[in-house]
Amino acid sequence: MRPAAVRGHLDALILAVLEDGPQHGYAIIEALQARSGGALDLPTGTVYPALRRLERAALLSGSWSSVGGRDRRTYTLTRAGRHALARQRAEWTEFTTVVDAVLRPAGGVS
Amino acid sequence: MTTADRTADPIADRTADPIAEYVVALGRALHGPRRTRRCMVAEARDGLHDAAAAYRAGGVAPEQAATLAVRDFGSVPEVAPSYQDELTARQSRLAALLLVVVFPAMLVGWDLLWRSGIVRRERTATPEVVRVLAALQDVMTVAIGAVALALLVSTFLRAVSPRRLASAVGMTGAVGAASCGGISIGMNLAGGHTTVDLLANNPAAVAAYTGSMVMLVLIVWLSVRTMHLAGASA
Repeated sequence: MRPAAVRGHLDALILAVLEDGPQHGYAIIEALQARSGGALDLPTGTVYPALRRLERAALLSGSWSSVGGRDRRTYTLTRAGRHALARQRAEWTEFTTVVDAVLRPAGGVS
Repeated sequence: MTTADRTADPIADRTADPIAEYVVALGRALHGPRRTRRCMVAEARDGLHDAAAAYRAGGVAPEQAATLAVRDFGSVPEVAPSYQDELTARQSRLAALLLVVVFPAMLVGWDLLWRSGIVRRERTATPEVVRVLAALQDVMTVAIGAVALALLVSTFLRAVSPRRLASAVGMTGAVGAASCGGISIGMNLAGGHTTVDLLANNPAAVAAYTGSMVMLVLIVWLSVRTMHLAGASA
């Protein structure tokens, strides 16, 4: 998938990955790649500033903690982050439904 | 992460290590609040080491693993702008916070000082010009505080450009410091000998004048730095 197409949705994808619990930067990158079946091919270095952006907007909270004997910066979804994720999911569903309806070949519609 | 942890890392110690070279280059490309910058660079270094470790676990030779991790990360010119945006936003937030606190604090502080009677003017008659300037000073201070508060809130919005935010915060601070400083000088000049008498007879007044001047200098310094970052975050 083209990085430019992903970029606009990166924030929502990160929020979705963190829904299951706190994770550090590299684990988030691995989760993004795993959940997309390896199709998300963006420079890993763009994920870290995105995490800072989400933290600045109070959608995530970040702090250094010890993971596997090493200090790592770990990110947790905040309440505001959960709300933002729910909102973006709803918007995405609506968007895809509308675009899908228009893109579908006209002949096949009942 | 402590410095000891980092230097203890065998990979970071190797001089020709691509990760160490990359981290240094990234650090040099970024400008802004030192603590946040160091934290961001340390996090990038950790991420690169994690990525290299994952490659090594997959059977890739250590040197090659580090090179691949750096390649996946994206070049410094490619990723630095997003990092810089966040540093610029951080600087804007800190500067806006200072303005939000300092301007109202100066207003309240001076008001309390006059009302409490700790600082007393020897001459009873205050010139009309001084009265008008004092009112103007209050209005300016409240206005600057309100604008700074709005800017502080907008640092939480992802859609706002950090570069524009930094320009706006820097300008607000500079205008605030220049106008409040200018009005103060005007008041003291119009007041004639009052200021001299006040400073000569009242240690509290000396402290208040010094404190206000230090605050204004601090605001000017931070505003200039913030505007400078707006340029760095193009």
